[in-house]
Amino acid sequence: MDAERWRIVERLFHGALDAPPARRGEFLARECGGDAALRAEVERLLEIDGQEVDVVARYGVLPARDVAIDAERPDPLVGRVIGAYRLVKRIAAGGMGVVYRGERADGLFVQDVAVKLVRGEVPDETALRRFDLERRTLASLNHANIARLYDGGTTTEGTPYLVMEYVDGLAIDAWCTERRLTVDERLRLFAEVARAVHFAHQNLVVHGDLKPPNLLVDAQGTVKLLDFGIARLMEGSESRDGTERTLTMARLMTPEYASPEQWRGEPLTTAADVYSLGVVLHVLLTGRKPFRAAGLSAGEWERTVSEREPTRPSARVKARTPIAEDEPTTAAFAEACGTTPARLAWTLRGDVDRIVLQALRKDPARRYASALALAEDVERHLRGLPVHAREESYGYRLWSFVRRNRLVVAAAALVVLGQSFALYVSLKAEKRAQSSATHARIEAESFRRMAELSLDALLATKGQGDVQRQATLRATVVAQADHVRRQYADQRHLQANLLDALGLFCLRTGAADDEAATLLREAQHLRELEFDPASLEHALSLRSLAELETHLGHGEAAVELLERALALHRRSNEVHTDVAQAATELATALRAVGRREEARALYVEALGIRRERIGPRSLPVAEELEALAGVLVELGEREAAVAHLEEALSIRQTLLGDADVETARTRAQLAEARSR
Amino acid sequence: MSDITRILEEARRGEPGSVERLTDRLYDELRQLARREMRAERANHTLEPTALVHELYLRLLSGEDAPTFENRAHFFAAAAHAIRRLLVEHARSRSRLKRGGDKKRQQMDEQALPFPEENDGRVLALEAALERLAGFDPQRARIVELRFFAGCTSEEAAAALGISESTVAREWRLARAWLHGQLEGQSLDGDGR
Repeated sequence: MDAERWRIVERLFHGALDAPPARRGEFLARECGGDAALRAEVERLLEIDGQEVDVVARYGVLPARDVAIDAERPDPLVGRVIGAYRLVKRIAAGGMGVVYRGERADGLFVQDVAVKLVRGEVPDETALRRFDLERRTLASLNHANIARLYDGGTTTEGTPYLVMEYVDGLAIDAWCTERRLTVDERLRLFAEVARAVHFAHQNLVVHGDLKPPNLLVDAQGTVKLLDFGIARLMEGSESRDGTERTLTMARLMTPEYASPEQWRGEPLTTAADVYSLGVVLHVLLTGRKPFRAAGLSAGEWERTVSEREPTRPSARVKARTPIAEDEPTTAAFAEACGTTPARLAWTLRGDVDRIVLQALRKDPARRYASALALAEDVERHLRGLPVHAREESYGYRLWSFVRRNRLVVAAAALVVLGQSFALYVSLKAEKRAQSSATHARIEAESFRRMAELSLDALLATKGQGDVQRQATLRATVVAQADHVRRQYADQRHLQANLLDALGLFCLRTGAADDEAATLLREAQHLRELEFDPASLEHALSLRSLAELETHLGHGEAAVELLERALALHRRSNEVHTDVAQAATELATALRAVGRREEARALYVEALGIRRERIGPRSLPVAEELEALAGVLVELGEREAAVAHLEEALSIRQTLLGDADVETARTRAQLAEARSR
Repeated sequence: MSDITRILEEARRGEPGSVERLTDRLYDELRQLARREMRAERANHTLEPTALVHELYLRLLSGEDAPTFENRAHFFAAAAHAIRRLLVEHARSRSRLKRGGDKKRQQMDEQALPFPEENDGRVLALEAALERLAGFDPQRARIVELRFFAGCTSEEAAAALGISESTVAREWRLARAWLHGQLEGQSLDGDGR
């Protein structure tokens, strides 16, 4: 193929992909003209494209493979004596080294051992001393479910080696399948594993590479944990710079079992083992790992493991998720558990889901505090007791989602934010000007926090459909409210402001009426505790609650609340524009329930205050005039209404211009009033 | 600043010959590293090329201040090319030496690298396809190289080639289809995957 023809192929390939599938044939026929070979070539490429072949996995040189145990080629190390042991047979090889079965070379007594030769560079003296020290710690680890470390040292060439208890067993997942263990039996076995891990943790030994091949079950059904502390031992033996080596280690270990923090190269902790245990449990209960690393680059895998939330195990066993070659089908796996897919899903749903997901949390601090806590929760479930695992709150998950996407639509969200909170903010700003310094600080803080909270809430709903958007907003508000309650537990004033604002946010975005009610009442309660009964803070809550009642269609209740609010405002004589605002709100509520005369009186009063305080040709005055005109039309006083609207229109034209949306709306209202 | 960082800086500034120098340098490093792994293991141990690249990356760059994303991208671009050369040359010499006598066999042992022999077929098949592709579409060939030999994501490949991620994604799509068309059904002398 020459470059010129290739350019044509390329253009047709992408052109066909961009065309609707139904029109591809037509497109190609037109573009190829009579060149049948060209058309066949492009069609073939399109067909392959549709198969989505993973060419990197298929033709690449990347797949990691352990050394095949090649029986035909003699292993130069077999027969060699290392320490007190002769190497008999190579049994495994992996990223960290090669393992041989060994026997006592002196024949003093029969004892099979596993000898592990550590891979890597020849360590220097400091590293060797450290290796030695760690080895002694490991040797003291004496537990029925942990394979003993007997001995260790360095070969004459300087390669470190370890001599361990030889365990003749099957990997835990294979054993469960072979014995067709039920879910409860699997859980019981797993609890033993977790308890053994905890024992090691108490002895300051972290495993760092927990996975089924390191969890063997012998013919008697005793589970034995292999390679305890090996990860760190090797880290110690080889590294001059710990972090560098740890990162390499994480990349060498089985990626699916490594915790997100291990994968990022952070120091090894007991929490990493808890995570790996979670993966093991997931495998034992569903037959598959929470995420598959195959075919992903290191970067893609890192993103997966640190950002994607695992699916609930119960959903994994019933979902018709695509199954990889090395995974059993759902039916086959359920059968290996002695049950059916539907029953298996039912068994896992609830407690077991929660236990697994709690162990698999991204944030180490949100996992089980220890392997023991995990073991105990599993045992609690087995005894039919309520478990401690809790579902990660939807709010928290959203919160972390929002954190990651914070900058994406910040600008757009700010615009929306400005609209949602314009009223709220203007009220606060007016108050701030006339309040004490403390009040001003608290109001400023309220506003800043509120801006952040609502920005995040709006960010979280980016690109979502209506139903999903409501759910997201609701969850975010719930999470934010929790956060506010904790963070400002000892600052009731601030807490009340924020909960009140969150409630209004909830109400105005239509996220959740019940949640709005909860938040607004909570804010009211806090204000009652904090301020004396005549305080204006109560008026704020009354007005918020009135908005809620209006929203719910309880007009009379709204009127009653607003009457109380207005009374408080009048008594305080503090901020006149607040009186005007409260009066306007009450007037609107009265109008809604048909009490028009009372409404008119209040609009007139509010108009007077606004004219006097803000200026006769201001937007609040225009708004007031329009509201008053509305009720006047209803009362049949058309001429007065028209006069008010003309004044309002003139104000808007002056301040906003003729083309403004609000100006247009007023003009339409005026036209309608005239036509009646 | 190590010489590697310096060469990376030169590559970033677009100095003539810097990319070739970087590739040569990484080729030597990779070769040494592979030999060392081989000696340490003293057995027919195999190594994953991407692991090798990452190991090299850590060895050469982690001591520095955090390398910029751009430097990282240049590194992987050069390393992908170097590891490709190393794998191909090794596969070729192995097949040449296998046909020779005892003396040749001894030579082969000395030059052994921890790359599994059963992979040689696929290495050479891929190489042939890549060379063909480079003949009429060098940029696509570079993308394939980055994907295959350094395990780069689209984002990394885009940075390494100085083009947009969406271009990489688009180019990759046709490259993928074309490669499959070329390689499907070829004997890879491997495990037939």
